[in-house]
Amino acid sequence: MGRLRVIVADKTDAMSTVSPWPLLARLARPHRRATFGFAAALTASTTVALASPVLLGLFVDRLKSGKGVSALLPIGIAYVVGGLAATVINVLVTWRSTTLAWKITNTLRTDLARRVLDADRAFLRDHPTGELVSRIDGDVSALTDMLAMFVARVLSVVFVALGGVIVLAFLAPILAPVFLFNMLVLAWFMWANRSAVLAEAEAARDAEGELLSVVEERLSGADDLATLGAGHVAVADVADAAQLMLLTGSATMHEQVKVIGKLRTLVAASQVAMMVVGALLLSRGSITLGTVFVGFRMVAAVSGPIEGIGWRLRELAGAGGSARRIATLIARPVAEVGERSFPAGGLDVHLDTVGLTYDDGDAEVLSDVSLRVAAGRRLGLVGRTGSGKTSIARLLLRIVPVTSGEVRIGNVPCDNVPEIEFRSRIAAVPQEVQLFPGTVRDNVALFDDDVSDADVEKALDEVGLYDWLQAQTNGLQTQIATTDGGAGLSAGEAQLLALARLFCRQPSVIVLDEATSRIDPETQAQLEAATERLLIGRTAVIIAHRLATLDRCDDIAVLDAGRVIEFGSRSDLLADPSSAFARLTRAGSEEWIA
Amino acid sequence: MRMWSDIGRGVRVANYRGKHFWLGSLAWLGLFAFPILPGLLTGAAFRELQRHGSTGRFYLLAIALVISQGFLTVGHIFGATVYARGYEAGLGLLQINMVHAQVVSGGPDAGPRTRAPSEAVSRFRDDPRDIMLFVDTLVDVAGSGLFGAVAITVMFRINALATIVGVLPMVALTFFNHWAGHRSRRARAIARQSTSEVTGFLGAALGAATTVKVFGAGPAVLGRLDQLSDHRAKANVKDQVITESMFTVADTVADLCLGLALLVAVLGARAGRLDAGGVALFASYLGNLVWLPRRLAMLFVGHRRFEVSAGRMEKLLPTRTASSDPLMTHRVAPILGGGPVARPAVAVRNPLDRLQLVGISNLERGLNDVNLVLKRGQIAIVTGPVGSGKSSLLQAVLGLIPIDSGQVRWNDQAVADRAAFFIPPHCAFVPQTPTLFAESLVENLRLGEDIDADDLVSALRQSAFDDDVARFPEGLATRIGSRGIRLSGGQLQRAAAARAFVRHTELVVLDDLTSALDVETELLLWERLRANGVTVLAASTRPAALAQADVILDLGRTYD
Repeated sequence: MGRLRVIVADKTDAMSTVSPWPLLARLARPHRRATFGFAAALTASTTVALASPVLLGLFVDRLKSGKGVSALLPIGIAYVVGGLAATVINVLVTWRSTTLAWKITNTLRTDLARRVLDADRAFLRDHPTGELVSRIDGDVSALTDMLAMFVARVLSVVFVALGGVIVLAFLAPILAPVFLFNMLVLAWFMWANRSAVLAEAEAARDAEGELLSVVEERLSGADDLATLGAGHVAVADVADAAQLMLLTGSATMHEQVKVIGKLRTLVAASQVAMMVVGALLLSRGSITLGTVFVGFRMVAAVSGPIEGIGWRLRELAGAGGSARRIATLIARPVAEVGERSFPAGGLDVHLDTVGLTYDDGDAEVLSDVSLRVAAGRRLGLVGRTGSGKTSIARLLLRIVPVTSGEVRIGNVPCDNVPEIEFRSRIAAVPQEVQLFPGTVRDNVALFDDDVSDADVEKALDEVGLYDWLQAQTNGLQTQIATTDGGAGLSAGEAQLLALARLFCRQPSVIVLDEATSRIDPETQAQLEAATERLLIGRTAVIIAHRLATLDRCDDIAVLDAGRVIEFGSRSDLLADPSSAFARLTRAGSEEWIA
Repeated sequence: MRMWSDIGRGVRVANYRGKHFWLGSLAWLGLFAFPILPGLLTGAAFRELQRHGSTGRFYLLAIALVISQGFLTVGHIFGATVYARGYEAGLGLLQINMVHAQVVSGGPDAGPRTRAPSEAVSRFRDDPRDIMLFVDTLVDVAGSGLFGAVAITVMFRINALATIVGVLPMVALTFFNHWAGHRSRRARAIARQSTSEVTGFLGAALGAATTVKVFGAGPAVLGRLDQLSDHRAKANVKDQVITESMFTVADTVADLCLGLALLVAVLGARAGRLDAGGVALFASYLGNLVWLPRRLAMLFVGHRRFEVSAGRMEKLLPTRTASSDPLMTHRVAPILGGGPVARPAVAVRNPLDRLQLVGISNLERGLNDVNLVLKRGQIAIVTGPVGSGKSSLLQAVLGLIPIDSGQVRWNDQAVADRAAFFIPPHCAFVPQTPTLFAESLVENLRLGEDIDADDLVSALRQSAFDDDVARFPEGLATRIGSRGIRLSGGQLQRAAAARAFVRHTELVVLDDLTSALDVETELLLWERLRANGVTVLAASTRPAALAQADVILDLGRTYD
């Protein structure tokens, strides 16, 4: 079953021509101090790097002229001191360059996260969380590494090369252009080979991805394979994938070594060129042996770092891809914001002939929906799965925009209200509780430092978690583990904790999607009581999953296939035995509130 | 010493495609030792230049310098590529050994089955590399050592005292590297922790993007992200500075060594013997020699990683004994010219008359003294509420989980190795959530067996999957996507059922097969099973299944 899956996931991104460089320059701007520190460290390291060949040349000259120990000793000492200084300075360069790189890319990471959190529902649906995390974190980290290692190295090589030209211009004006020429040849070579390893390295990365996905599938299906006695087929599949990795991996190595080998030969030729030109000048008596030596060692001063860059070419290629993907993400337009604000006090909710289509060309999810909830009243939504209840909740919470019609709250069109204002007045109790890695406080206040500890404690008390909180060793600072339901939090407690979030915020309108998860009766009663307290004096739209919840609603809307088939006060509908609501209440049918 | 036995294990992996590996290693060895030559050549050239000026001999030496590097490049490209193949083959061996232990049907090769496949995948990516990198470091150390021995001898003969003093800082460097290696491990652990805090938080926040939005918590969440990122940046900068310092320090120590050597040469009585050639040679050799301490330090760091990674990988494998090392065992596989993976011998069919479960217990999984008798052609349904142990019982019978006590008897004979016995031609299993693979439907049904078209058609019919397949534009050639993602839940179950039925086993074990089927399809499936006289052991709570049952096992109570 050996086969190659074509990997097309990033094709559209790869074709994008958005350039990441202006972006990086823009990101570096706020970090002027860090940039300056890096430049200073780089200058110092360049100076030391240039001093070493010059001192050696001086040493050779004095050695040759037969001068005594007193003439040679200072040079030897200077050389040792220079070596020690260089050690410290080079560590300094690493420190400054990595710090700068991290600062720049942290800014970028937060910026990307902001864009994704602001993105619409369609974007989030099309991009699984794992993919977004790999972009915001994986791609950005690749960029960090490139900036910290690659850019710093390139700059340092360029500095030393230019400095070398200047030093040689003073020592031997004819050697300087020869050196410059050699450096240009090396630079040209690196530029010409910048993507030499790219294709192979990408094929190798794809092969690794393929191997891992084959392995993951086989491990997930281990029971299937073992019980069908087909283990050997899986081993063969993995071996095929491993063989593909072997071929692409060794091809990458082949290309890589080709570049390095050519580079080394070129460096050797440069050194010899410096030696030969130096020897010619020496024979004419225009320079000293020491200066020939300086020219020779100057090439060595840049060749090591250049080779280091040569070995990292494939990382550069990878970082280029990352930068392009990031640039496409950043190119997304940012939504416009309105300026109206809601009136103070209770708010009524009005859906005016609303229609909703999620994607162009799809069928309407909601058609001609008109509902009105007066301030302080509760509307219960009833309907089968897929009837449009959740879509109404999404419209009210501005998670999706209306396709036609208008949603007005407090008689203000929702679209015209700025985000902060909107979120402070309209809140939701989502069906699924989502906890964040962090403390109890973080999870209730949702990381907002303006909420006081007292408010958080009060909110937890309101939902009946006071005793639970007292039992926690670190109180509000207790860490909540988000894997496997969270440390010490049952499903019911998680629901209560999520409910406490709303008590911290005091919204005017609440959209409640009742939880369906299994909760023990005691917690259930606690949850209902807390919800009841929360809803007092507020306008509420409720998607009920328990018939009992509907008993506490003032108005009822029955939905079917995206249309309102019945809407009225609960008592009126119950009084009319022919109403759909009366019928399903009689039947006690839970299907209508699925 | 553990180091030596682990070197032995490393050599065992390297030997898997040994021809490539050792030939490549030899090439690397030459490559490491090579800088001896340019050092000698430049030394000689400068000596010539100092004594006689730019003579013909000087130009010859200069040309030899370029040509030797050219030759080396050719050898390097060849050697490194051959070596890379041997190296990657070693990775492949470790990977197939892990997979083999996970998917083999019982027997001594089977390892403890992982319950977290996606986490286990990281064992396949990073850990084999750590094993091979350790082997790599051995070659590096050998090469650097060879160079060092020759270089020190040559330098010693030029100026003994300068050599000794020049090499001294390297001893200090060795200690520095050892210390830095230790610090780097700690720093890396902290950096990784801080990184996973960022990714964990980011994942949670983006996963809950709607919640974040609805609560207007975006700015606060980003503020927290900034805090975590800052913390991570500090930890990572520290890690990178320590790691990089090992390299930069090596470079500058080379200068330091040279400086000291020159000082001693000047101060010593024999300074006269150190000429421009000597300086050039010392500069070249000391510059290369500084890598030896670094590589020695890497050997210890690498060995630590070897131990940790091997330990992690071995969690997927049967226990290593004095005589067998399952992680390193050479295996026939199509890697670098190896043969195809052998199909294990199929057992002689032992026709089923009677299957008995006698006192099966696994208290951890809630099985306590379960008994059942199932005759040929009968359908037995295990039923009971969620969590009553239906799936566990089936898994226990099949040997997928252990039992504390009890026996499974096939025609009155106790089955010793259940995992090895309950496979075709005796048994086929359809798990509750079957896994199919990212290939075509027909390849998924065949799973490496030669099965003719008629058999496929009848198996599809028996699993009530024939109508669906007929509607697929590409029929059986349809590619079903990773883990069969392009099929619906019900289609996935019926495809897995067809995969089992097509094997014509004595017994078929079905775990909640019809949970994703509509009532009509389910009825059809049971009727067809009944009509074909298949012996079935199934877990189900559905009325249609219970209606077909000859034997019902409910929470340990049996009805007949």
